[in-house]
Amino acid sequence: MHKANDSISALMDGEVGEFELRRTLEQIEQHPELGQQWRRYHAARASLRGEPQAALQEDISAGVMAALEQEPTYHPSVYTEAAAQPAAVQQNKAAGWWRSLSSMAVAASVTAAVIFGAGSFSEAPTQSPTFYLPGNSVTNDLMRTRLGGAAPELGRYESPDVIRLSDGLTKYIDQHQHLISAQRMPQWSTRWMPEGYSIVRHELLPHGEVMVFANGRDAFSVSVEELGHQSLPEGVAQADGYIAVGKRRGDHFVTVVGDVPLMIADRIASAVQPER
Amino acid sequence: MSNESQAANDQVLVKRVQAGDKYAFDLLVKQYQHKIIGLIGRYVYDPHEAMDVAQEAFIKAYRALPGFRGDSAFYTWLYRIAINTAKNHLVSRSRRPPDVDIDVDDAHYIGTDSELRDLDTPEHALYRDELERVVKTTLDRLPEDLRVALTLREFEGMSYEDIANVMDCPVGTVRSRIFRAREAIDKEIAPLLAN
Repeated sequence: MHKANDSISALMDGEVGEFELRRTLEQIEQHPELGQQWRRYHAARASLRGEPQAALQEDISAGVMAALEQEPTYHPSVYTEAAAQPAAVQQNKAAGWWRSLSSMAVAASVTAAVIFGAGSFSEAPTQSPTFYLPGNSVTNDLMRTRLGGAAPELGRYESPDVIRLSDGLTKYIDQHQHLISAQRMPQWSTRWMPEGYSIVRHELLPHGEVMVFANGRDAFSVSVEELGHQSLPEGVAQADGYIAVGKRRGDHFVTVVGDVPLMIADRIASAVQPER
Repeated sequence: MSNESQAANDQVLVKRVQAGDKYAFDLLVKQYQHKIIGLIGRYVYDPHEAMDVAQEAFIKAYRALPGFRGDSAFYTWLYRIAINTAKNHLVSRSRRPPDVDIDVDDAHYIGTDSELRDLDTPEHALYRDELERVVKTTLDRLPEDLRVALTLREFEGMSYEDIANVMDCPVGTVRSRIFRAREAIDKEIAPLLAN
């Protein structure tokens, strides 16, 4: 707590870096007394400077934040557009840890997309379908069919009346077959992770593995790929509040992505090892 | 502390809010609420009513935050919202806003001798004066190294690095001294600000 108090003081003076800022905000959220300390520090500063203040024994912040519970949480990508379109906000009522985990899932999905072969979704079909449903005509690479018979009760789901076939999707059939036929067990693990984290997902992919660790609030993912399936150099990247650290581990490439300090991400990446 | 430094610090939190960290807005509320209530109190004389209007102003500010581009300082922007909210509140209650207005750029520094009335009830004035007395007395009693570090920061607006150069000590020591000075003051004023 002493360290958090020290960070609050430095935050007042704009003397904290990005990581310390995020960590301090988290600690203040977890410990309301730190928020009160922040309020008092500012009241003291205003007193020193002789700035007018009122209702010093009152704190309306709880009421404001309670009212804002129903308000949307702004999202970085939406904010970019929001400058031109202020009403554009994204609803996000997910709880804190779930929000973090969901964000991580997106990051992990991106990683997985790289493993699977990025660009799959943008590839337009270029070949004719390789099979036909009976009784339907075929036009170029698009086959249309009416789904006959009574639709099953699916609640509000409405059956599509057109099916588009795409050869590009066959790779996901290969992937599915790989996943259900693979007899191998997870081959990678980490011998160190930050306190409080535990593994919540471990996916085996055709050319690697992805592990997701969470502590109930924050999460990070660890991807291990064979070197031949990616060509990125070792290094660090930062975007949207996330750190990505890439390191070679023998003939594999380890990528750690998450809302964790750089030094932590680097240590995690260094701790990834093959299962014995 | 300089206006530029304050604006830069606020902008850090504003960006956090815009990036999806709603709780960062709580810090901005805690930071500015007493000033905003004081400002609104120059239009809305009832203290409880002024607090309600202040709360409404902060909610409006949050909703408008996606459109805040940082062209002006956050507190200037916030003060403008607060003043407009107070005026609208008076109009909605069929009361006439005062003829004398506050220049939003000067609102940060308006003293109690303004032509506009404020929430200076005897109780509020007592707390404010007592707080100021305790803060200054505690500052005067601090060890010299702590007092000088905090003074250079709060009154001269110097960065930790500049203070380290002046005091010929590491930046980490400056940070620690300023924190310890604030802790000492906070220990004395906490009972006064308990809600």
